Amino acid sequence: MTGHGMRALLAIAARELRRRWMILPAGLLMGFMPLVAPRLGWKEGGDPVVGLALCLLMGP
Amino acid sequence: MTALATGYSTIGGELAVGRLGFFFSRPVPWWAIWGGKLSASVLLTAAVGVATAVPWMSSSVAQPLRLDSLLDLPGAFFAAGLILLTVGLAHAASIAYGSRSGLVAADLALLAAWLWSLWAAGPLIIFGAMWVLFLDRSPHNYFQWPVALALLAASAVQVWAGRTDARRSHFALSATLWSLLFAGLGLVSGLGWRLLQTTPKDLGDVIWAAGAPRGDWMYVVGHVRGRIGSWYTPVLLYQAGSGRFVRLGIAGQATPPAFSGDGQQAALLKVEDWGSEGWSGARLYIADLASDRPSLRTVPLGIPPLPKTEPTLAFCPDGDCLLLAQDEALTLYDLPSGKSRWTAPSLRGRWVEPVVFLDRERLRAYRRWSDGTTSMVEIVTVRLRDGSQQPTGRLEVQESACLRSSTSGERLLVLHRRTPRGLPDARPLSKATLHDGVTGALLGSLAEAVMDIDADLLADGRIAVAEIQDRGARLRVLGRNGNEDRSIDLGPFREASLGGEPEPGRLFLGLGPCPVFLPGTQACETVLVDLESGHITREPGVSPARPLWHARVGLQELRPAAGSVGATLFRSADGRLVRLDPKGGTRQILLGGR
Repeated sequence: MTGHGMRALLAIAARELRRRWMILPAGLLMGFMPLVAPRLGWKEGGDPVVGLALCLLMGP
Repeated sequence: MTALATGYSTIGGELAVGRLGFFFSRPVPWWAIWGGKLSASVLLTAAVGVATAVPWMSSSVAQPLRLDSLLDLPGAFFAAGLILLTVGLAHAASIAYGSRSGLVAADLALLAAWLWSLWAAGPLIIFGAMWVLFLDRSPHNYFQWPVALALLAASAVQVWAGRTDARRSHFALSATLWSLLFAGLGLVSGLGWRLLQTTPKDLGDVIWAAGAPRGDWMYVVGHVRGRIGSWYTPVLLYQAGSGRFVRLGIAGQATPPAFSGDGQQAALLKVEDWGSEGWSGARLYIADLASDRPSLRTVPLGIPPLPKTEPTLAFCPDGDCLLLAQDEALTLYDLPSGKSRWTAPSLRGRWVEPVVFLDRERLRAYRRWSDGTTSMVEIVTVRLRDGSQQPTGRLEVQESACLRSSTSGERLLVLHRRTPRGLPDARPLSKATLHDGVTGALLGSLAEAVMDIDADLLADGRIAVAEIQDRGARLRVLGRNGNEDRSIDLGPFREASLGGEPEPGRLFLGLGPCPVFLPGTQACETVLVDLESGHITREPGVSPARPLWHARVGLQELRPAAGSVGATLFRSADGRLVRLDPKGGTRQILLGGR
């Protein structure tokens, strides 16, 4: 495992992150759903279980 | 979602459309390509999960976000394994799909075989994994890790060996993945199997033990020493003198065995299936204890045991047949064939213990029923030849009463343990009565309104009554007709139970409270009472190895048989199995000890 190889690894990882970074703000936006949903009439949407399920759904 | 999307697209997606050559055409090592892409996928997945959690966890909807909730090690470890597993699965699926090869069918077949193996070897895997991971509880929360690591290793081999060739990549991934998964499963389940090959010497403490009526074979349940000790309670038949033993399985899976009268055979049922309402299938096993190499063999039963009801077994006096007693029916099986001779249904009510073999032709059984206000016990004589029933008498008893019969069936003791209604702090008021064993006619009252009671018929025909009153425990020895011979003060104890008779005229009693499952308390002790002189020899720190709370020990033997090895077996405060010599008072440690 050389320094050149490590730099290449980081560069490839950074390239992949640059291509897909928009998914991060999308996840952040989805995180507001448990806060907004009760005000839009869906009371169960504020349940912590919904928030947890959302995290799991968006992540893994 | 992120894990699936990125795991699918970063390597597999680019391989399928031929864009992975962009990286391999440059002077970049294979591991940098593999590591860069997969680490980006994992990082994105974790970051999206946290980003989604921040708004609602920071608000008042859920609990406010705290640093320690993010750094919770078991939770983070679980989530990291889940992310790696999902990324790895999505990656493997993308490679398989992108190769468009027939190897996908082989993958699916191997997946089904692996999952079946996982199910079939489940208990072995749990014990093996607990030992490997130094866990004292089931590792089911961490099972995603080995699979995730196998997927990661397979993806590394795939990038290294397959490079830009989709089919070669798929073959490299599949070969590595399935080799690792099957080898891992085999190794861990093999280790688990080895751990379950317990010998009596592996027992760190003994929960309880019971001896055969003759000979020196005993039945032992305990915990093994070491990492899986608290989880694993093996059940063994053990002969202390020779060290020979037979493994019976684990407690809860096998009923306590019944010994034959000569102590040369033992019979037990092993549960095959558990349902929501109890067990739904059981198989009979007979242990041959007379041969040089004692063995356990299964006996196919002509009529299977009824489901749900806890079964109890008893050998016929000659050992050539076996009675299976359940609430709904008594069934007699011929041995060694297992062919059913007859079934005696309980008609109304249910059969209750005990069942007494009167001779080679008849047995006496007791049938209890209740009409809502009174509870009756009917005394029934059953012919061993054809199972025909002949009721001979009846008596009215409390719903919670238990019966003790003499070996001849001529006399019957009834222990009434009664709790007055509407008196929340009242102590139970118990009593014992003596009845004619054939007609059920009352012969006399043995004890009235005591706090607790234990009573039984001794080998010489006398009656022993251990009772608890405000002053403490007391042993009363009564003649055959219930007239009092002797009363012996046992001290300020709250529990007293009759033990075995190691010699004629001498009786062990356990005084408590005594520990049930775990060793530890010193409040429990044993006394050996000379019934003729009333002399008491105290044995502190030990309790009878066969507690009376477990009634289903054998139909004929609520207490150890007089003069048997079981009458001298005790459990020490630290869980060792001890044999007390009634003559010299010496203690011999048979099993247990850390």
